[in-house]
Amino acid sequence: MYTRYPAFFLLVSLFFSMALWGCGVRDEAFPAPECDLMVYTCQDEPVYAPVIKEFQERTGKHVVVHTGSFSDLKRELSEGAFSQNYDLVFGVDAATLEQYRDCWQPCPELNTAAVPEAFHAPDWRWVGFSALPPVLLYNTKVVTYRELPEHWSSLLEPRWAGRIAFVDPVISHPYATALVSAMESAGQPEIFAERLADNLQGLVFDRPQDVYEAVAEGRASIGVALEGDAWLLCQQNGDMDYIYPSEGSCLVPDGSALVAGCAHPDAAREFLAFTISKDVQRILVACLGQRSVRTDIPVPVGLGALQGLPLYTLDYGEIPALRDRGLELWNTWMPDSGSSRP
Amino acid sequence: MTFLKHIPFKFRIFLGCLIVAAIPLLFSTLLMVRLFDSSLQRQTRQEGYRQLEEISGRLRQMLDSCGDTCQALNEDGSAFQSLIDNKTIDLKKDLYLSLYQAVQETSSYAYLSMYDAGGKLRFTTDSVSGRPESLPLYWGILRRVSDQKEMVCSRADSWLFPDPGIVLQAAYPLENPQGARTGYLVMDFTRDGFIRLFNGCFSDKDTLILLDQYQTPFYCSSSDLDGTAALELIRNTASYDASRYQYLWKQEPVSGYYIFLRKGAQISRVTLQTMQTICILLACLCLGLCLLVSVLLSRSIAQPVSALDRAMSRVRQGDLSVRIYTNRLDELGRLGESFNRMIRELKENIDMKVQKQKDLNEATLKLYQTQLNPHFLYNTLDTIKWNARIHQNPEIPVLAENLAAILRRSISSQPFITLLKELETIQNYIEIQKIRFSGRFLYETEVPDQLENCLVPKMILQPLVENAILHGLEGRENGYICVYASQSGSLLQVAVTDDGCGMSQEMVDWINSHFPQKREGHLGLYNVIQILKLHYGQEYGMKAEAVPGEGTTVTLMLPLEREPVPEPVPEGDTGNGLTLADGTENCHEPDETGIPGTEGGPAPGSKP
Repeated sequence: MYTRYPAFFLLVSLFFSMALWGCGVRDEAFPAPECDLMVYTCQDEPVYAPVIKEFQERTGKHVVVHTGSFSDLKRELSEGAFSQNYDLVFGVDAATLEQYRDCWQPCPELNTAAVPEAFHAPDWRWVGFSALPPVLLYNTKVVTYRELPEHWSSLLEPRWAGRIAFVDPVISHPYATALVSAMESAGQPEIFAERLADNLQGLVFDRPQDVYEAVAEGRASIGVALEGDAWLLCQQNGDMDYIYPSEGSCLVPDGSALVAGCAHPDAAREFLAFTISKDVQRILVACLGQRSVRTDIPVPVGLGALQGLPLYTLDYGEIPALRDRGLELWNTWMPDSGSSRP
Repeated sequence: MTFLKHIPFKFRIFLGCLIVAAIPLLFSTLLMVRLFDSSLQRQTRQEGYRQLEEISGRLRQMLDSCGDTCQALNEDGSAFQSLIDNKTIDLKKDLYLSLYQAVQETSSYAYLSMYDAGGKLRFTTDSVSGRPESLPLYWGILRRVSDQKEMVCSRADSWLFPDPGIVLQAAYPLENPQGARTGYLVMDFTRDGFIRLFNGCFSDKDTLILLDQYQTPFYCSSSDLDGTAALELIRNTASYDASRYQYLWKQEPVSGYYIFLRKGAQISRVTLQTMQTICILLACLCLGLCLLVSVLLSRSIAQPVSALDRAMSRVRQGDLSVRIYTNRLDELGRLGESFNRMIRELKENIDMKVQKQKDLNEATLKLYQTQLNPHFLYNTLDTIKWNARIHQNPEIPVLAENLAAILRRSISSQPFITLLKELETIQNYIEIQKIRFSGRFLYETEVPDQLENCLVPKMILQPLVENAILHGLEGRENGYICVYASQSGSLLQVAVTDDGCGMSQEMVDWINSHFPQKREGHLGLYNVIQILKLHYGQEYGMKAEAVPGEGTTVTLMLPLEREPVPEPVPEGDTGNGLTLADGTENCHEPDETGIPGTEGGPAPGSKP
């Protein structure tokens, strides 16, 4: 019978299958966000979130933000499809921006005298956002004034063995820059790296916030921090203070650039201009304690002027090589830095 | 589908029962579970949409209420008065009274603060949190409301003004009656306030997420989910277990805010799994029962059929002793009984045929034996001998020739010959008997030409003619014997009649009986009767009529069968080339007897 009426049995089977399938309830999917601008940022959320929010509310444009590390950024840039995915990079250190300058598009319309030459590319392929010199953060309850870590070489003192909090420079470019500053100031980078590795005794973190918490909670006596974060911490926690290493620190601002060949160049230009606008720079100073790249914005209260600080700048083109050498030495003496977390 | 035909009958019944029982059962179970689950989901979904509407309504009502409050405060006049003169205690007191009165409805979920035109905080109902002393006019909520005349809402900037309790802000511009901007009213909606606002709208198993128009979360009812985790949850709803949660959302048309609700299943996953497990167990139990019934049913049907099949197979191989033993009273039992009866009757039929053939062979053999009666042979030979001695006359060849012809006919392999040939054989016999009983009888035949080619068993008439000569004409000097044939429909009657002393009544009765028994001394007649009955059936045979002193007529009754017309010999075929003594060609077997007087035998007159 089944050979005579295969169509009948097929229809019956189909009916039952549809009955089983059709019984289910399906939810309407949440709509995907509109996208008027795609931003890649290495910034922390407390910095980029307010800027993005304000930009959206002012312009009505929907911004999609992708956060990633510097190594992720380098990998995506090398893969060649960056312009298809992103319109803008935001909060990337100037040395990296200069290293990949061919990936960006010049924006001469951003030209303003308020931003000095040290904080933008000559052809305005990239423009600075904030200046973040590294400092040495310490807990005043466990570090007396006689023991203040005034130098980069203080990190090598035996008294601070196992009491130093440091962010893995492989993950964080600002900390890689801090490492370069420390090594260059020591004169013998190889010895410095080896002795630093000995003194750190594995106390290496993935995020700056972990360093700040470790110092604030007393798990570490001193730590390497970024100026703006250290300033905010000190405002919130009276037991914290920071100092600029006397040998000097390399000042590498972080900035933004318009990706060449991106899908939304107009929105990206608008955002670029917004990042160096007075309003953003003022809020940066007022609420985030970061140093503005504009000369017409005063420094946060409590922060000294740039000119009076032991800071120096390098050719941004040389910094990647210095960083690579520093990281190579770091990996030599701290091969397991990614796995040893307190 | 051809392979299905080769599947054993028992297995097909088993499969059929199993499929008919199990598949609907499985389908029904699956359908029931699925329907139950989808019904639950549907109910949950409907409940979810109702809850979304409730939440949306409360949010809208809250925002409208805040707008009305701010508007009322603005129109009140005390607000801008206080902003101008913030020193006078009475004015401050009146302002606070107005503020607290105005925010009575909204105080449970929002703080109301007043900022001057420069963004400096002047008054607030928030007595707990460390509120910043001012808000920038170039940024955030105050910037947005700076060129507005209505209330504006914005997600709280938690990173710039870290107060984790505040999730949403609304600002309203304050103006004096002349329209000059005097300050701002800012309402800070707290997380706890939202919890109280939406209290009772959804259960603890559900999760509510509010997002601004840019799809950035600003409130989540679950404290375990931060903004990133909440967004991750919203974006990846497709990868979550649909049986545990349903994801519903709607967008506020005025504010553009999104309300996202994750509803937990009304019946917990554990309960649902338990139900499914029970259903599966019950289904398995029913399946087991189906299996058992299928096995029993197939065995009940297939076993007798298989037995019948095996018995038929043995019958085909020739074993007729096979029997099917069954105690069933249904159709299959009757089938078995019918089979047994059929085999039994077949066996009996075959046995009977075999026995008939044996009897026929035996009768034929005995007929041959009586025909080849040694006395006849001795007498004939003796006659030949004495005639040869005394007379040396030409009768001896006649005897020998006729005897040879008779012997040749008797040993021929043909069981049936034409009546003509049979009469020729009788004629041979008569020729011999004439010499022995010289002149004592007259022999005639009366056979119509159309009956000459009728087939009769060979040597069938000889015993009758012999009886007529030996017994009928005993004591007579001039007897008469006639053989005549007649047709009556499909019946051929060949009769031998004599005018002798007449057969005894006892003999007549014996011949005419249905089943004549063997009688010693009359084996010839008995064998003739047996041959006729065995060949043709009980309704044929012999009958006798006798009148004492006047004669006897013995009639053979057999079916009229004519010799089939031989096929014409193809041109050029001259037969086997044999030639008889009369010079005619003979297509029969060559004579090998060596009888004197015949070709191949000794010359006449020579000693035998």
